[in-house]
Amino acid sequence: MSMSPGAPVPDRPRHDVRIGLWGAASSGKTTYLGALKFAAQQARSQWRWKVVAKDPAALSVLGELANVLAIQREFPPATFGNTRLSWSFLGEKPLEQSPRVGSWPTRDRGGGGSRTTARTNQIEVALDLLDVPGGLFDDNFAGYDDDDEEDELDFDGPSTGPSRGVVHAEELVEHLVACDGIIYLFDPIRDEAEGDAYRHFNRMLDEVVSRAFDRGKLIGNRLPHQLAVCVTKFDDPRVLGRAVERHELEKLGAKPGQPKISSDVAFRYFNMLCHDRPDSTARHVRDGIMSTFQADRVRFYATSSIGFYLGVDDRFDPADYANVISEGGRLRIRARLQPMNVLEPLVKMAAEIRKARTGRLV
Amino acid sequence: MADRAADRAADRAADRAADFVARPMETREGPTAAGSCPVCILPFEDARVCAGCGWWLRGGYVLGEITAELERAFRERLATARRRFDLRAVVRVVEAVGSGDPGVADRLVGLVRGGAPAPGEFDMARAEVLAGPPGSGPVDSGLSMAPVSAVVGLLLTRMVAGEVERAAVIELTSDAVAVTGVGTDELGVPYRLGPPRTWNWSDLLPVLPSDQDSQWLRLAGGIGVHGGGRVKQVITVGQDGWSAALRPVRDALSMIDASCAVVLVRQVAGWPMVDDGVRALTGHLVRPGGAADHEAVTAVTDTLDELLRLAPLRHGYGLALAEVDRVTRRVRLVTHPLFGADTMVPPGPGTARAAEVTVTAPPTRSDDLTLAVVAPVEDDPRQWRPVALARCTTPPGSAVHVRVALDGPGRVRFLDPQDLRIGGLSWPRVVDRVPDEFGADHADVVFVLELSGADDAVTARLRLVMDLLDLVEAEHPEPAAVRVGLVGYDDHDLLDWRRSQLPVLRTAPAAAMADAAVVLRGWRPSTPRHDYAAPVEDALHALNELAGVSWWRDGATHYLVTIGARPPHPPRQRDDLTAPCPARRDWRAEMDQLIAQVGVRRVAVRGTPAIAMARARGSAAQRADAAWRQLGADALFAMDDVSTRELASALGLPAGYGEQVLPVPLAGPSADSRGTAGACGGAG
Ligand SMILES: Nc1nc2c(ncn2[C@@H]2O[C@H](COP(=O)(O)OP(=O)(O)O)[C@@H](O)[C@H]2O)c(=O)[nH]1
Ligand SMILES: [Mg+2]
Ligand SMILES: [Zn+2]
Ligand SMILES: [Zn+2]
Repeated sequence: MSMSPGAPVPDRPRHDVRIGLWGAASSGKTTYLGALKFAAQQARSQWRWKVVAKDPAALSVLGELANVLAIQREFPPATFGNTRLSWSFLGEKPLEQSPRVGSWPTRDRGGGGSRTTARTNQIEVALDLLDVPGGLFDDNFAGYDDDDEEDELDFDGPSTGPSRGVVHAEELVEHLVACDGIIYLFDPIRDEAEGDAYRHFNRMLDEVVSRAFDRGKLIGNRLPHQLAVCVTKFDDPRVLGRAVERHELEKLGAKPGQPKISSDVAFRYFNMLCHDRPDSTARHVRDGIMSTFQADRVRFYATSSIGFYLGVDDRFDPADYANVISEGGRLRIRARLQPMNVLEPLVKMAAEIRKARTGRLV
Repeated sequence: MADRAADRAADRAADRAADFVARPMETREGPTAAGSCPVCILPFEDARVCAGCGWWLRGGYVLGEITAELERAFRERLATARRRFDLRAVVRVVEAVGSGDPGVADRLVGLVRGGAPAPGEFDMARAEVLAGPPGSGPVDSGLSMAPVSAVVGLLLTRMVAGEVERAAVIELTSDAVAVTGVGTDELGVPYRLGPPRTWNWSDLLPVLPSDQDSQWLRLAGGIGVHGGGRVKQVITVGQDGWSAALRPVRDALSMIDASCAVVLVRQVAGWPMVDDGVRALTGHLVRPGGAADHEAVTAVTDTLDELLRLAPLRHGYGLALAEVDRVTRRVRLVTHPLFGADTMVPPGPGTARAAEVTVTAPPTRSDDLTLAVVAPVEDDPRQWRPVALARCTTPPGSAVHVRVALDGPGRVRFLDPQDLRIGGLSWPRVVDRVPDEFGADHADVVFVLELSGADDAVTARLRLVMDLLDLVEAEHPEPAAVRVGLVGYDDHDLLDWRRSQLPVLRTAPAAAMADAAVVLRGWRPSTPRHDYAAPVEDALHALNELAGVSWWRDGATHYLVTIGARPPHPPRQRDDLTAPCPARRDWRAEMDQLIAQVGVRRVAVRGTPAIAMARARGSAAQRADAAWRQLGADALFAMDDVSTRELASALGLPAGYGEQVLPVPLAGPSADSRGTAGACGGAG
């Protein structure tokens, strides 16, 4: 199901918050979406969340992703073409006197009217993802990169041609302009592998800025959007092994359960990547962010859609935490998904947007 | 009273004769001395006939006047007697030295008294001498001379047997008397104690004519014209000065301290004056209770050295060989008999005996093989006496035909093989180089095999090992010395914790190569479960710890042969995609322990993993390289281009003997081994 570019967003009023998901090919967008369901189920905050597919496509994708990730223990196959997926993300803060765990207000899917409940302890976040194939932002986009031997299995599939790429790009720009916030998945592994693959991140941003300007949405010369920069695949030893010092690694196992790596570590690591090479992707991304977004609306997250591998004692083991096993050239997931900083950026962003809009916190 | 008249006439004649004799004569008549026979100069008292030559000293009474005619006839008779007397001596000299001195007969005939011989007179003298009728010599010497072989043989036998420590050999020749001390060495080989002491005859008897021909003539029993005229003393047969004359010889004998003496009369047997000297000598040598302790030997033409050569061997001689116990591998030195004790070289010039044996060169490097002919006089080979040592270069394991000649006691020559180098190490040094044990090195080879992977990759690994075993089985000199253990490893199943804890090894404890091959044939590839590592660490751990299984023998060379593609799992996660070992085994620690406790030689064959190690990122590829360098610390091969033979030689398996060396040959195949000893002429 796709949406024609430039069309008015029909259900805009029905949502409290509309968030777009963006990231380069193979940065983990599809996996992130699949992980959201598990993240919501496992959330231990005051709020209880549930993901609801808003259309049949999203519904089947959701089911399929859950199956692939949790049962087959594999990563989702690469995305072909632009797929627009819409989820509603329903949050509830149970009343103190009558906590009704697992009970959600009945929604009339066909009504299309006011779905926001009057009660202040509920929120609906619309999460729109335009899942696009890799290489969309490249000048000579041909759907895939012949030279990329390293991650070819992670790489999104081929498209039919450049003309199609232009159409996809248009659609994405329109989509992002319409959002209140953007979750940007930054893939540190690809960054390391190919320093200039993201050069067109900035070009894309320029397009969004200019379109927003047309619509009179700029605040000053910057986008009004909230931006969550999720440094993805933080569970991967190639990431965590570089992002933290040995002693920090050891400390992660101090408490039982999944450790949560702080935004500071993500930010520090991101900066480290910026300084790694003068021409690093991270540097391009940082430059783009600094010149496009308002500094107080940008947050960093150390994100892992699948989480760390915990041993039988349910503790993080610094000597054995990788949750991916390379088998036959493909990564397989070793244990059940325990996403880290997957739900958090979403929730935080929704809260910020509502706060900015209504002046109160959710 | 005719008798009385006859007596008077005889007296007169004798007076005349004595007068004649006493009167100095011209040189053609030779020397004369008062009271001596005019023919042989033997002193006479009142005998009518000369005891030495039969000359009528007092003839029958001559009736009537001593006429000039009678006197002329008497002179004629005397000259003839003198000439014939001397001619017999000439014959003796010619017999002894004539072959080397063809002119001696003419020269000596010129010295004969009584003028030139009448026709036939020389031949007649010769016939008389050779027939040896009584009276051919000046006296019946009574000298019984035993044959040389019996006498010398007996002496040498007694010396070789150790009954006689030192002997003296007195050699009498035409020119001199020589005394040589003879002893035996520790091998019982007779040898000269020093240079002979030699006296020319004229040293002992200064009044002998100094001219050699005259001297020979005199020693041979003649008188000759030389030094003719009336002299105070004419030294000839029967003179009684021998005792004083031989004093220097006797003094020399006492210096030698010989317990036995043999008199060798070389060539000049039958020279009456020499016989006289021999009689005087042997008379002196007789000691109380030692009547058998001296002998005289006649007609010896051989030199003393040649006689010593004929002595029997005190000890047998054999070729030193190594004998290796099949079970204990202990090495013993033995000898293959070549010449038994008491072996004698047959008499005759240049004779020798030969013996041969076929032995086997050691199956190892033998570029300096010692062929040692020894006398195994004691049990301890170190005490064996070397007789002849030679070195040769032989192909390992080849048959070596050894032929030796015995030229006499202690004198052994190698005839075969050719291209020998004589000398080299001393016998004790050779013994030093004999190892306590010898045999193919015991080799314990443990193959550590990656069994997960593509069928063809795993099959190639198994094939390589099987081919190697075939090769070694075919070429190793002692295949039983090689034992093979197998440790195959399947992948850790990391996607499931419970399954990740299951053992991943297939093991077959050390066994004969054929048994290992059977096990290998039963092994099938398994599914790989991780791209960047395989449980080498678990395999190493099993070699260190697997209860009840002994992979290695003491004293064997230990080999660890790892054949795989992926490196071991690290003990902990690093910043790459290589998963750590679920059992947390540390391959480095296991390897260190293996080296420290077992001491392994490490050989590895590294294949290419299905997924490039670089894709794991981080330091994975470098670590993989480092791990394989460790696994193949002694030899690292690439699976793509390793050959079975290369691998085998990296293991030192075909040679089997490593650096071991046997300095002496092994016994030959029994069929070829024969220790014949027989005469062999023409030794050169
Ligand atoms: N270690 C790790 N790898 C991830 C994670 N998410 C995605 N990946 C890897 O990134 C690849 C691409 O993910 P995908 O979700 O298809 O990316 P997309 O192209 O942005 O949709 C996957 O096949 C995984 O190999 C994660 O949370 N942890
Ligand atoms: Mg995708
Ligand atoms: Zn006489
Ligand atoms: Zn292991």
